[in-house]
Amino acid sequence: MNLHTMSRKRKHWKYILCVIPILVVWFILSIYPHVEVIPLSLYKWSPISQKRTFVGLEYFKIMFDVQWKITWKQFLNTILYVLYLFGIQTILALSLALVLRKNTRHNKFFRALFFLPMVLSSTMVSLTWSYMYDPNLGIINNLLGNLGVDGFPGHNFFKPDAMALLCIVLVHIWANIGYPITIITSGLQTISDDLEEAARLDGANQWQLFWRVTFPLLLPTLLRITLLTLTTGSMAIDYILMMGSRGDTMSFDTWSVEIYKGITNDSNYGMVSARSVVLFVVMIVFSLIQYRATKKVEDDILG
Amino acid sequence: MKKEKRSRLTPTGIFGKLYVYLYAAVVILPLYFVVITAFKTPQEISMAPLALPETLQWSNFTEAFKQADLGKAIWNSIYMSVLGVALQMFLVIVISYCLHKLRNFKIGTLLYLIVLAGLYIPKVGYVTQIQLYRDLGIYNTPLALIFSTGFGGIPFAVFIVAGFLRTIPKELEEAAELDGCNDWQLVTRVLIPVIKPALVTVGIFGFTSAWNNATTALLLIRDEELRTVPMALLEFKATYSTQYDLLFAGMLATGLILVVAYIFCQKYFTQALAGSVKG
Repeated sequence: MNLHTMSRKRKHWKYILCVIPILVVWFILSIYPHVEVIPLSLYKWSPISQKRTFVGLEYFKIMFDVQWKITWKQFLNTILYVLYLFGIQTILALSLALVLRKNTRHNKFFRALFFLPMVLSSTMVSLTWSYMYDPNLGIINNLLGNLGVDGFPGHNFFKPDAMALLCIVLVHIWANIGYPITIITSGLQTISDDLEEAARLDGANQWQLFWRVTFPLLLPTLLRITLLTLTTGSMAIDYILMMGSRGDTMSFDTWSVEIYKGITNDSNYGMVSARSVVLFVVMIVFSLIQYRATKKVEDDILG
Repeated sequence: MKKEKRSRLTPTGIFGKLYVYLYAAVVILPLYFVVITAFKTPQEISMAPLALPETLQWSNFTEAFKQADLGKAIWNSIYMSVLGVALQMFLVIVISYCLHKLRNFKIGTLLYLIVLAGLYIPKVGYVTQIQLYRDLGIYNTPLALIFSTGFGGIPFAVFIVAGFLRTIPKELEEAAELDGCNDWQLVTRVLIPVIKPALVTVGIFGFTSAWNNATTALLLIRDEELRTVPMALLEFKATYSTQYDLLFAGMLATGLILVVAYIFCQKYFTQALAGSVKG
């Protein structure tokens, strides 16, 4: 070991001592609470009293027994939300990115326009669309009514629940589509023109060109953003919370919204923690699926 | 010439264009109605929802500011977001620099992986987070939001900044060290100017999310005095009737800032919000 590495070895302690306290505070403030729900789901506790009584798996039993109907409904709503987001956003973003693929000024303008809602807050987006969907005052209802469509205005878009969720997911997509479009566009730009040109010279039509050449090359990018909808969809709170009525539990609330509302509606935080633990586990599974699937496809293509 | 004309007339070309224009209408129409409704009277909103306002109701703006105390909310949003983002930038630079210096040691790799693992921890512990903030005595204070902004986005920001530091040639640091630069000088004079694109990305992302955040603010803030803009806007939404004239006037007054910023710095916003940096 020469003098140079020895002095470097000694010097590196300085950086360790500097970074560790910051990371400890970071861990306590922003990671620990999300893990702490696991032990706290075994206790009966509330924010008001300091007393904590151990109840074991009682709340999980209640969730899957007495409250099974509510639990199942919220599960279904979450799955529906995720599926809508997964399907519609992927197809919409992919098709728009393909149409706007060339880097002309016209296309750049529209890409920028579609990205714009990402700058707006979820509050603004939700309240704007509450107005668009409003049964009587709403723009969609009045536009269709003026065109003479039967039943408009006065149509309630939030009935039945599956329809309400679809309408809310469409707003979610409207607000966030700039993200997948940007990622797919940059994915498309890494695909070399020569490859597609060669396929075209071999007599491939547009359809074959897309499915045989562009799509396989785009798959890793596509997978990365579509699988991301699993986690963003099941964690989504804003749009449901603000387009439904605040406070009260709605029949189209998803799992995460129920947890969020539990903070004001429930005085029993043990139950809320138990619900959080279920979501925690589901999210970890989703993250693993996402990680493994993306890695597998990338390995298959690159290796 | 002939070839170009033909390619423009293919069905995918026409349908593609129509498709884009249709979606553009879906993006623009709601925004258009927000703008015109902000200038209407409540009567016009219910009687003629599609029409332009007869006269521009500028009083909607003053009324919106009065009713939801928007002036106060704007101030709260500005100082909490700015301080939160400043704290985050400081922490991210220190963490990224230390991890960069430790990159050839096992502990450096370990710490980096711990920070990145933070991206994958599901943020579901709302109840426990509130409890922690209560125990620390910062629940329902400006510090609650400043800390949640400052510490919340660290994994993503470190990922971007530390990743960027790796692309800097070693010679640059070595030359500065030979010139007798200490750590502080190396960071402020040599590295920060080089990693500016990454810092701009992190800053814009952090500020936009802090400014727009409603769910965390609703959890951690109770006092009307401390309300941020998204919380104040929700004030106009009642269970059975929403005052859309005032709501949209308030939205125009508070949201226009970011929209204008986006129009002028569109490239930076796209990079930041789509989470990618190009050097």
